[in-house]
Amino acid sequence: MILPYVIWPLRFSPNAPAMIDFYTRLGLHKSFSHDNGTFATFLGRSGTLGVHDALNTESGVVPQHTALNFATTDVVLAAEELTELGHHVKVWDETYGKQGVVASRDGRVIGLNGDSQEDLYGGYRTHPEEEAPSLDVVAVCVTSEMKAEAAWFASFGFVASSYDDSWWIGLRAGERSGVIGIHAGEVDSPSAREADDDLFGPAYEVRIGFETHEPLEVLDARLRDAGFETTLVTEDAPHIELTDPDGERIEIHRAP
Amino acid sequence: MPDKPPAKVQFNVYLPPDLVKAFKHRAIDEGRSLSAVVQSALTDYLSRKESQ
Repeated sequence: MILPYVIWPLRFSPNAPAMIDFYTRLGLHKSFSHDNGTFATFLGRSGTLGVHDALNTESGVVPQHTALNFATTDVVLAAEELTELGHHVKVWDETYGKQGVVASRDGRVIGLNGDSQEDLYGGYRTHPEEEAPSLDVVAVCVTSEMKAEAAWFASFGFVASSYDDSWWIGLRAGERSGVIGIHAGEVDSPSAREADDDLFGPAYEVRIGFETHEPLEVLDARLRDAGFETTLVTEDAPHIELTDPDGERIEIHRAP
Repeated sequence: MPDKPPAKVQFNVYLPPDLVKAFKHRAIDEGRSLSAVVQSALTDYLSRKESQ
């Protein structure tokens, strides 16, 4: 059995309130947050993402970097399941529940988090969905070993219809999973989190992107009406480009 | 270069649920991780015992 895994890339931002406002206006659903504006989780049409204040964390993260996490229904069961599949996994208690990490192919760690939090003590709150989010969240993993990297994510149920494209392999694990995009390239950025002990290895970094089921022209017009500065790229692989408050470039492509 | 912090190990114990909840809430109030707050409590306890 493979538990359901949903991507939850977590941005450690020096501008957390601005990033939270950015994703809200972009059309994601803020499902869970802290009242002081230092933390929020967003649901996409498929996939989720999070924003965490980079100045208020003990795990040594570097601001503006994004660490890949999976949300799942039961972190302890997930750890047992992944261990049986041969993965190196650790689980411990945090204030918000069980926290896990699983080592990737090269030893960088991917977080494992529960997909809900029952205890809302201290300013946390859930938010009812008022409007269905329109974008699928994409976690973009840059690697020079695309097929091997893509195959590794099959343990989490993420598979592609084709592995033959030399630039992009889009992996999904069902309608709600979000997309893991394996992109050809060399990793040249410093890690979001240096390994400081046996528990926290260097984080598995990703870039955040999105896929849309609307025509790009329609989405682009809507984003411009909402005050975003966008660029509609119509050649080669058509997409919309915009920049988030942390200065990171975001691409929105048509979903296949 | 700064010294590397010592490696941490996992330490499983059984505690009353109310005490665990109180520690989690204290950690949230202080903006610290659960591990950091438990470490402080254990260190303080040992310090007090050793000074008696």
